[in-house]
Amino acid sequence: MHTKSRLIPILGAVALALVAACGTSSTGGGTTSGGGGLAGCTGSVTVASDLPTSGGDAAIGGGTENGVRAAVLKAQQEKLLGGCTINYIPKNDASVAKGEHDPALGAQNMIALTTNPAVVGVVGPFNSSVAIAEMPIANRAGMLLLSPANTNPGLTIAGSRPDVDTNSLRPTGKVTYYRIIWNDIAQGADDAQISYKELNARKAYIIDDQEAYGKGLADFFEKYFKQDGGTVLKHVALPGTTKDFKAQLTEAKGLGADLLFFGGVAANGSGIIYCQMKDVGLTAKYMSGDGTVDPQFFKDCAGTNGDGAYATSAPDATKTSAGAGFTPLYDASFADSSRVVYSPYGYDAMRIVLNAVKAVLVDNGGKVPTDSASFRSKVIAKVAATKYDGFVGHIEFDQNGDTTNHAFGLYSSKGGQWTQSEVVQAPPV
Amino acid sequence: MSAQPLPVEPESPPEPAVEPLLELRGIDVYYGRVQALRGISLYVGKGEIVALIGSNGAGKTTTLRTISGLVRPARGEVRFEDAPIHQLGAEQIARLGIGHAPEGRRLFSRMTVRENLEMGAFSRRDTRRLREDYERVYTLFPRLRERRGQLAGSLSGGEQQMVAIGRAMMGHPRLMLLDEPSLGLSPILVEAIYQVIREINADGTTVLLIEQNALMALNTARRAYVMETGSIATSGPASELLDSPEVQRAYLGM
Amino acid sequence: MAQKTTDAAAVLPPGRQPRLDALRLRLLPQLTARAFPIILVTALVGMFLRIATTSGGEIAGEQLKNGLQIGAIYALIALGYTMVYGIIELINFAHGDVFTLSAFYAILFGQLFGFFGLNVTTLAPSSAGGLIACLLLLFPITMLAAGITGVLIERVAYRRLRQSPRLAPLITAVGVSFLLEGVMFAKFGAANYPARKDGWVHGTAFTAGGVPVRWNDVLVLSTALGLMFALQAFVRGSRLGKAMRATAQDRDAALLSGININRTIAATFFIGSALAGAGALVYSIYYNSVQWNLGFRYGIIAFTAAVLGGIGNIVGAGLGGFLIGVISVFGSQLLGGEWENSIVFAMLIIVLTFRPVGLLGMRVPDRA
Repeated sequence: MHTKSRLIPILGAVALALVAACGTSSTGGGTTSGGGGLAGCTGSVTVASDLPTSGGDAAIGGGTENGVRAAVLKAQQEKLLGGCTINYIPKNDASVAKGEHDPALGAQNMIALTTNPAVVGVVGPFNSSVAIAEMPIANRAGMLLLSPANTNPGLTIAGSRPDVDTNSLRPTGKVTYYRIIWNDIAQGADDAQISYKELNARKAYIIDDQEAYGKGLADFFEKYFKQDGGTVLKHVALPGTTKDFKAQLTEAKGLGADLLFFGGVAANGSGIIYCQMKDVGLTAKYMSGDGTVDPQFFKDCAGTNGDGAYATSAPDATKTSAGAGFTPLYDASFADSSRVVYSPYGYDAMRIVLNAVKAVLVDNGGKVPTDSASFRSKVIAKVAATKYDGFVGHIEFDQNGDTTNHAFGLYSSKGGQWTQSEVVQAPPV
Repeated sequence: MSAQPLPVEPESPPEPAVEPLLELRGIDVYYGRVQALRGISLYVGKGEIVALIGSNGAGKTTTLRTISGLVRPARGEVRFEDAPIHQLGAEQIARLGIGHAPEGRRLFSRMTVRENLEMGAFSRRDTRRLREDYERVYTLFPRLRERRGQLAGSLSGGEQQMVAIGRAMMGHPRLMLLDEPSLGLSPILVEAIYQVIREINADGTTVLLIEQNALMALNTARRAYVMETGSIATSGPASELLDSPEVQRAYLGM
Repeated sequence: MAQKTTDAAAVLPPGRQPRLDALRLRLLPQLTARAFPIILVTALVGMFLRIATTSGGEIAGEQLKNGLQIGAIYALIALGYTMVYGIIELINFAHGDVFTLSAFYAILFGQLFGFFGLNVTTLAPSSAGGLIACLLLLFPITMLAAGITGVLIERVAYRRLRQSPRLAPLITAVGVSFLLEGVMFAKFGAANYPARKDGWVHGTAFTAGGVPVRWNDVLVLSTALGLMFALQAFVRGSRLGKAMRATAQDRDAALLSGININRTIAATFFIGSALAGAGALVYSIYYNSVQWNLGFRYGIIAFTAAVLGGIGNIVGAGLGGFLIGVISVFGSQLLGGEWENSIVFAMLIIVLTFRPVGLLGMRVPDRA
């Protein structure tokens, strides 16, 4: 589950923009340009997105939506669909009432999009809670939903999360939901592998924040850390209001822990725990997930005290060779300061949708299919078969709709910033 | 006079024989919708001991609480030294010089005897006179000197009554209101307490006291009021009431 | 009389009922009065030894220190609960939020000094003298602001309801609590708010039995102990303190003694809130961040501490705070941290069931 706070743009990304702006001339996206036999295509195709673009999510959701828009603009420029025009409907699932992403509004948006016969595919949503509300609606309408950011494993893998009934999210039994980001099972496995192999940790003390995301991630970490050969000394779940972890950290010291894993978001204690480790003299390494890669960490553990923690998150694609071309592409249409880590994910998600649309049109002899339902189902079939090299790397989907690309950024804290030190391929899970 | 029924004029009490210190005029008090006092009018002259007698629930305690400001009258006036006081707060009334040893003694049970007396003198700053007043209380009640460091809640009933009276004395009041000073005490103690009340009065303190022990009260008081169901049934000099057959029958068990 | 059968007599042989009453009313309180502290101390020692055998004596010692340190904060908050309850029998649910608000005051005053050219965030860590100067500035001003907040709350929300049924001010207290939390949420946001007191008090003061005691532990503990004893001396010895005790014990009698009840109750709120303010300042130095909803949990745990110690009893509240701190820390190592709140509230239930007057609660016959 994505929450607002753990999706705050990574500071490193902003700093990086300056470097990358001097970058390469790659057109990016690894796609063919031109109409490809669709020169005679007439009519229009409508695609949409549903992201939280106001309130507390404005920065992160807006930056992601800009990535989606960049993909639409690029496709329009290069006449991806030949003579056919591309219409784009952006929807915002952040409600005034909640001041952030709102599952109820997401469901309303999805009803509006699915009842519009012109719409053939939707990029979104951003938050797993919204996905749970939208997925059954899209599934019944046979509409593609392609998320750039949901990480809750329960959305795709039945039985992976006790609090999510995966089968009820796909009432027709068909997979219509895909995502181009890894899920938290992969993240847990990745965190375990990094902890065991790179940080040489053997005895872990695990704390989670009792929330769906944090507990889920911590559980997966525990499972894979044990599989890797490590020992889990203890796994405690503390409410998000906990401000004093010294009792647990002292216990961890007594047990001889060499790693402290925190499953949770920064608002629930990532930085507090790290600073209190020093207070009680616990010298173990600190590892956490994407919820910790958040400026809030340095508010709670400021100065040099905050240095030396590790956490995984979405890789900063613009730092990789595949993603190097994204920054100039984005900056051509949008202010660089609005770019977030998820912007290239937004771009690639929409590009995958448009590539699938193109393939359907080609199959249909260069004409827009008249039957909306069969058009939508053909788009889904093409997405399922995607083999795509995007800014975020190579993307294929498994039978559940999950990406097979398990690339993570390993971030470390230094000087009040999270800096990506490497991109790690997580083990297959 | 004594053979005739006593005059009952609640609205206009008989012309005071001495200069009045306290005067109640037509006091009505309600507890919720229940009327507790009906047009109570009485006066207490300077230097007098006045008794308020009557059966349980007649409104005696309510009358004293009204004078002290613990209960607000719905109608009527309480005047102390010719100034209305019924609008004042209880603590302001206490500071004017009205000491009240309330029903049930109401000691600060987790404070020492000495601290209870201190509280009685709470509003006073005149340290020299204060020391004299402690001395006066300890002279009247030598037991309290012995027990001054003891918690008031641990004292016997008689000793607690002494503390209650002593505490009221510590405010150096001009008027003392005593609510059932003899309740629950042995006859010897009752006699002792009343001896002290007379001494306090002899020192110049005016006393208004409530008693169910009407005989004791009427023997001590100069004048008395008899209350029945929230109003004054009869009043007059204590000696006359002692001789009144009705009073004898109703309150003296004769 | 033999024909008169009461319900109890129908079940019990004649003579049993009074004896049962005696058992319940006299024997049980006596028994629990003696047994309760013994059981509590035995449990604490047992927990300590258990930790010492599994994790080593030093860890057990450190956990004891952790418990005392967090307990010191609970104690400072509990004092306000117990004072207010003692005097007007109100569980002032807003008290925990006064604590949080005061922590924000401490942060804002630091910023305010900066506005006038005195940068406390750099002055305090510069030297011992600078730190002491900052503390000497911040303690009184934070406590004053906290105290005024408490007085305002009493004046606006509770005074008019003093004669109302007890539920009315209780609900109001909950309302005030929500109001304060809402204000803090709106003003300072949902996230932890940095206190900017990095490195104010740092370093190890001394090592006792292998347990390093840091200066900030010393600060928290000495603040709590110092203020507790100061408060106790104040309430015992001063005129106002005695007026508070008198008002707490018998409001009418206090009025008859010429004590201004309104002023005394206001003073009680002032002092209780000021103590929470002192706790909030040391909290902000120790933890270096504050969150808008902190007061709920701290308030309710501190309230439990006050009940454990004997509500209305100042020494009891202090003792209860330290005990709850130690019990929750020991318990969370032995049972797991997720049980911490459960342990605290189990304590509350046990106390309320078996010894409602608390550890130091007194039972002096009121009107013998």
